[in-house]
Amino acid sequence: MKKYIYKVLSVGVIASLALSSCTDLTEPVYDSIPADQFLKTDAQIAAALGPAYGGLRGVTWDWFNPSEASTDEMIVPTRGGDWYDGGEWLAYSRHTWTPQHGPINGMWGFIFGNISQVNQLIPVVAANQKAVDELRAVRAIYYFMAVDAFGNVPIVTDNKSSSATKTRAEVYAFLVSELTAVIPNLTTGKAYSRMTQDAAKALLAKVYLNAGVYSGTAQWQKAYDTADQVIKSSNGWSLASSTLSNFVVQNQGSNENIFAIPFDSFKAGGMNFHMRTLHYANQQTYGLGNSPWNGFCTLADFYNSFESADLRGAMWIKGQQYAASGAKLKDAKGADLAFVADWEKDQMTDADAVFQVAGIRSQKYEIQKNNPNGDQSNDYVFLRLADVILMRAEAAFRLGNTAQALTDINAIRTRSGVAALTAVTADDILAERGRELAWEGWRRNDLIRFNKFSTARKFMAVTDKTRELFPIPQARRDANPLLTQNPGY
Amino acid sequence: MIHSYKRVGRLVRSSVSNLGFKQAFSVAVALLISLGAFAQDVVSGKVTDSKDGSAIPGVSVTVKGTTRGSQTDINGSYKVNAGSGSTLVFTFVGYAKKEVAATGSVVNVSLAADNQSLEEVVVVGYGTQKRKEISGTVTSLGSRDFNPGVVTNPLAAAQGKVAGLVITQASGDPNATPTVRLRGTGSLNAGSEPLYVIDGVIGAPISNVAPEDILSMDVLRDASSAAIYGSRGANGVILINTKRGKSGVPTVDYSAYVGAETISQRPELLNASEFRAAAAKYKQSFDDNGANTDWLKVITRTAVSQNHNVGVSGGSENLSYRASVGYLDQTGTLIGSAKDRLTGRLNLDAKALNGKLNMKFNMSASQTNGTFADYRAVGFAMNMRPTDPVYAANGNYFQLPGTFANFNPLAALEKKANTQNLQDFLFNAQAGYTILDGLVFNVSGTLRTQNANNSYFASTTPGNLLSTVGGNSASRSLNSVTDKQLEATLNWTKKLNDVSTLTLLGGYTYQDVVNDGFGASNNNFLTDAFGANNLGSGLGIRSNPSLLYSYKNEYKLVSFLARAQYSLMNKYFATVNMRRDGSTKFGDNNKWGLFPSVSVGWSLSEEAFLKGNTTVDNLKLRVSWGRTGNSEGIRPLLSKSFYGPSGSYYDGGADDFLPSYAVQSNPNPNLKWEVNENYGAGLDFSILKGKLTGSIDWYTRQTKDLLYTVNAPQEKGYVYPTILANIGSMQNRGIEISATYQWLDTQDWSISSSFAGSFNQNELISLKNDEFAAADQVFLSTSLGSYIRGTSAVNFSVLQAGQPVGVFYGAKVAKIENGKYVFQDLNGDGTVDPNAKDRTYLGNPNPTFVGGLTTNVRYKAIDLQFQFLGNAGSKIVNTNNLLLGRQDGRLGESNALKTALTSVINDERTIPMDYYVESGDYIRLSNASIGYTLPVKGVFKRARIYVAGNNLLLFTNYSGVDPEVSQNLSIGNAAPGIDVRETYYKTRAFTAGINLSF
Repeated sequence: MKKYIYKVLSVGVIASLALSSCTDLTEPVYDSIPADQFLKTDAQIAAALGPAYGGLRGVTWDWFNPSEASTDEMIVPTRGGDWYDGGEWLAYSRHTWTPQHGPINGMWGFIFGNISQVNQLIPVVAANQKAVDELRAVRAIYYFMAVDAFGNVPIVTDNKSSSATKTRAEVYAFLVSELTAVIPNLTTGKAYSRMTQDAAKALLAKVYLNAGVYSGTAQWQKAYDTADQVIKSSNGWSLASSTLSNFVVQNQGSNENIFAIPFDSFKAGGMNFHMRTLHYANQQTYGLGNSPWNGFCTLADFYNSFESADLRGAMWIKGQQYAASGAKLKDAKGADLAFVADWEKDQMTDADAVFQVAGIRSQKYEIQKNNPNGDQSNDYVFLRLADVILMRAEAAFRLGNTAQALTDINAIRTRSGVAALTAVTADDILAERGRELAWEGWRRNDLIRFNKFSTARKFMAVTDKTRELFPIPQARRDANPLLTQNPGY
Repeated sequence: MIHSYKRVGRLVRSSVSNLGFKQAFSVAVALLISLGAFAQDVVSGKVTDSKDGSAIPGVSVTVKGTTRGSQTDINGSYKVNAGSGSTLVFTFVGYAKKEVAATGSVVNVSLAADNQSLEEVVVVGYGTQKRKEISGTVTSLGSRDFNPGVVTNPLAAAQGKVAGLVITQASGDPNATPTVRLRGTGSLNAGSEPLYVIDGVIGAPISNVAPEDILSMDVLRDASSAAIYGSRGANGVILINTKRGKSGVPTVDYSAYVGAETISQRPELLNASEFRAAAAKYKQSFDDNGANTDWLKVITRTAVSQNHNVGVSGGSENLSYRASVGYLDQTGTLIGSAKDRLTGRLNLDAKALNGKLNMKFNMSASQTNGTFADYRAVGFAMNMRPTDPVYAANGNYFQLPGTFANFNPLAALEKKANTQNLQDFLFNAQAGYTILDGLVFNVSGTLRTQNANNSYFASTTPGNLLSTVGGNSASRSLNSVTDKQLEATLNWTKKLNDVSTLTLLGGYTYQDVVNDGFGASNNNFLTDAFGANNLGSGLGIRSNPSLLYSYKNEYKLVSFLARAQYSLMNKYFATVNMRRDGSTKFGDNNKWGLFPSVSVGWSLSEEAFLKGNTTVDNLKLRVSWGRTGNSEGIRPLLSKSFYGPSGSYYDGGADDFLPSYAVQSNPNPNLKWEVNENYGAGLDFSILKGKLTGSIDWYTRQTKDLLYTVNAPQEKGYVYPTILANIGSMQNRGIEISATYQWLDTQDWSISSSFAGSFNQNELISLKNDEFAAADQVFLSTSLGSYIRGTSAVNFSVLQAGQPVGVFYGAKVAKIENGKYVFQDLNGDGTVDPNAKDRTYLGNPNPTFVGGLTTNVRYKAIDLQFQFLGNAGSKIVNTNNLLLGRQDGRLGESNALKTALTSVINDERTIPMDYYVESGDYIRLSNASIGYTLPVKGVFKRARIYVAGNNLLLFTNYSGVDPEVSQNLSIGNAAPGIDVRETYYKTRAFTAGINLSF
């Protein structure tokens, strides 16, 4: 019996040795770093702040598409089986979106994901007030988009904030207070693609310009004054020789672009307007690595609002298309490929002869030739001097200062080779903004301010004023019951 | 003394095996006989089959109580040294063991085939159990049950054989693995594949095991059996045991086949003249290049495959071995796809310390070379006009310039090389020490490494503008897995009294898995000559530094397990399992999970009221409850915040884009395993002396704390739109039936049929918890196919509480008017909104019934086997019909189905609708084989030749290609029942093969 006991004991010892090898469940980490061990050096902090700006690159899709496809500047018609996508593009141009609309949900995610990102970073740089304020200025861009697109949204500044809906007026007030609070602390000079004083002021001017829409009380004087400060900034912003030169592939040298979001064909993707608008066969026109998607185009009335002398009209790609070799391009069925300005159905079938060639296309952003990638290197122009000048013109006009309005508008017009105006109306200002800022993501904002967003146009009957705000996406409300739906949805 | 000589004899035999087995055998026999002559008492005799009197070679003959033994030769004869009065023990697989007293010098014995499967020992995880004592639900499959033909994956070998085990082979790609579901789909994000345990090693890759090496598969179907595997047992457990050596004369098994595969079904597309007619009919103009090309034919071929497997086994009393080498060489029917696999396996069993120490060594190595074809070529082949030639006049691939989707499919296949070299190495050592009678300590250690070496190259294709950045591009990657396992168990069996036995098991296991790898890609090489072999020479990396990466992560799983088995009067059986699992992957708030189970069995046939009943031989009732977990879907590092590179930002100082860093995912400190709770009851029966045997099982399987990537409220501080969280629950309920009927069993004839079928009903119960909630209706984004218009955001499948997972949802067509769909106003509000308000459920993609019927016929030396598989109740979205089956206005541009010529549809709206949802019911003659066992001569113990066919006949009303559509659910990519157009079509195979033993 003793022998057995020894045996049992020895096995027991072996077993307990085996057991002691591990009950430690600390997670091993190799290719990432626990949050509390990072952010120890300036370079690490700089890299961590990167996403605050890097996140802005979503603007080309999540801000641009809803802001343009819902207006008279741009349409994404259904082309046979193409671009139907469950009707989501038609919903934009017909103003029939619902809380289930996928891309609008995407826009919400873009805005609030980035706000959360910035909120996470603010405590990281808490010791450096200048850095904190710059982050708040970046966050203000997202809150501007939120108040503009969704209106009534939560105001979240850290992880403890309530995620309950605030009224649009409250969000507007918060946005103004944030921008006015941080502007004095921002860089006074130029710092490309960063939120400098001038960039923040240009944004604040935009916010004041829309104060009537956001809060019910217009702030034309504040809009005028803020725009004026940017125009007269010691940084000496100036209009480029031509509008389109601000959108060339290497546009970082522009002295007109006050706030741009940098893109790179390889290192920072998302600048792909050419893919969305060009016909598949245009691949040969520009020697592209990928066949474009043949989608976005403009509407005839908007296209026709450009006088023939208007140098800005060079942004349009129209008529017969050619390969780089000079050969005529043909469509897949062998017919000549020529874009047409006007057509009859926003939902075309394969049987409609024009289904592939309907609509004039845009090359506002210069198309990068022989680009092997689907993304280009043009930086996205978010705020530029011409916009600020037109903002001042509009504010001046609303304040009764027609002379200043004319001066400003004509500065823009003459640059593009069109005759100066001698008198100005609200419609003139809207139309000029359209031509100058076409396909820059401002049309929805402008139309709403001029009360033209719901006006009937081709492919759209008069729609309800409630369409001026997008719905709070249903998926978000499912996930957060504190969100209240906007009126009319 | 004699033993050592015997060993020498065997060694001689194996070392001269190259000379020829016949010679070697005679040498060995001569040696044995001469050795035997020294013995004083020699018993000899012949062992025959009790039924037909035929000789049985290979029977092991041992002298009871000694280590002496022998084996019968090809004539069934044996000789063994046995003292008078000793007892000889005769054992052979498939026959009942027999003990005979050696009363004279000649002892002839007849063995009866063993129909008593109840004595069979079943592997139940960390131990074995007698079939009759099992109270959980376990199905055992022997190698003889495997499907014949071109079957390269052990799972394919088991298709249709186990009730409740649904194996779907939607693809004909030799590199594809079947989808396996045990008792329905139990998870959304965490994976629904069962856990594979090979020779006691958890998680070894099953697809690299040659089916010829497998002795048995035991399928733990219910949670009460699988609970011993804790947080990984939720989808059931499949235990695989490979063949092992037995003491005796070495046996060599050789099997080989050659096979030829062709596509069994394909979409019927317009040929050139039909295309011209259709274009004329629908007034479409096009550039007619005058060819008549069958593009699908151009990219496919008859694929030849061959398979060889050699196994050698044998051993002495204390050391037995089985070593095998297998080689599979399989080409695919789609040009550019192929697979070859070399497998080696060595299993050793050793005894020491007077049989108290039992050791097992299992080693396996495999090398699989996969060559992967780009499935998009199948879509391109359907896009291409039949009037276009394969090659242009200049000899290059014909290519339409600036096209959206008409890329030359042959160029897409031939100009790309995508290969993987996968190496698996496993070493496992097990030792069991009997401390005292009934008390055994087992320890097992495993090292498994897997290295996948991937290589991709797309060469410059003049005229073909298929997206290759910089003309040509290449990438390489090396991904490795190192898996270390340690198990220690203590097993105590105690006969408590005359009628009851208690078996206790306690154990500890530890597993540590490291994944690491690196990769690089580049493009824009001056020449195609390097392929992917000189990555540094490309220009691409100059402008794009992000073409390099490496990664490494690790997780550990620590477990404590316990089991008690109790049997009373051979009538009442109970098993209690308990496992406690802790994992590094789980959140801090949920590091440990407990997985208990209980099952009881009652052998009714042992009760007085049935004992001796001539109709019912065996009747057993089983009832079980168990809780298992599923943690496979949890990647490491999801429970906490970790910083890592994330995109890039513009640095004004550097005037360049630098890598930015961000927290990698929304952390979830509550992250844990899914809980699978299972209730079940079953009845095993055997009627009319085993003429009808089988079982019926009922189960309900509820998944709680369902892992799902749910929308994270970003306005609540979440950076990313989704978070992996335990929300919701899902339920599967069903009935499983298996039955075998022996129609005829005579000396010349044997006919039996086996049926294995299951009914299952799946329902998603909820997708929310206190913290997170999924949208009421989640549309599963599914690719219907790329490079064709009208396929994005066409989502037929939804997740919704109260409905089966992936149920189809969409509009209903009231009628076709002037070629247009007229949709029903389902909500009756006067406006028809087929995209939103007027939608409803269109069908369930999950089959309600899946079954297989296998029939085995033997007439003398001829054997015939055939298997029908059936599937009922599932619905399929016929994507090809939706996209290509209408009067196509784009006909001038791309091809269409033959039905387009007569189609009434002239509407290219591709919204989800019932019009294209079809029944997926089918019956397939899945395989058949006929074999002939040759009368053996010389050294041969057994020789059989056969021919077999796979996928021979299909009966279905489905109008698409094949109703065995992928059941894969991968949130964001794939949903079950969508017949994606870029499918590697299933194949029909014919094989001829041989099995030899000597």
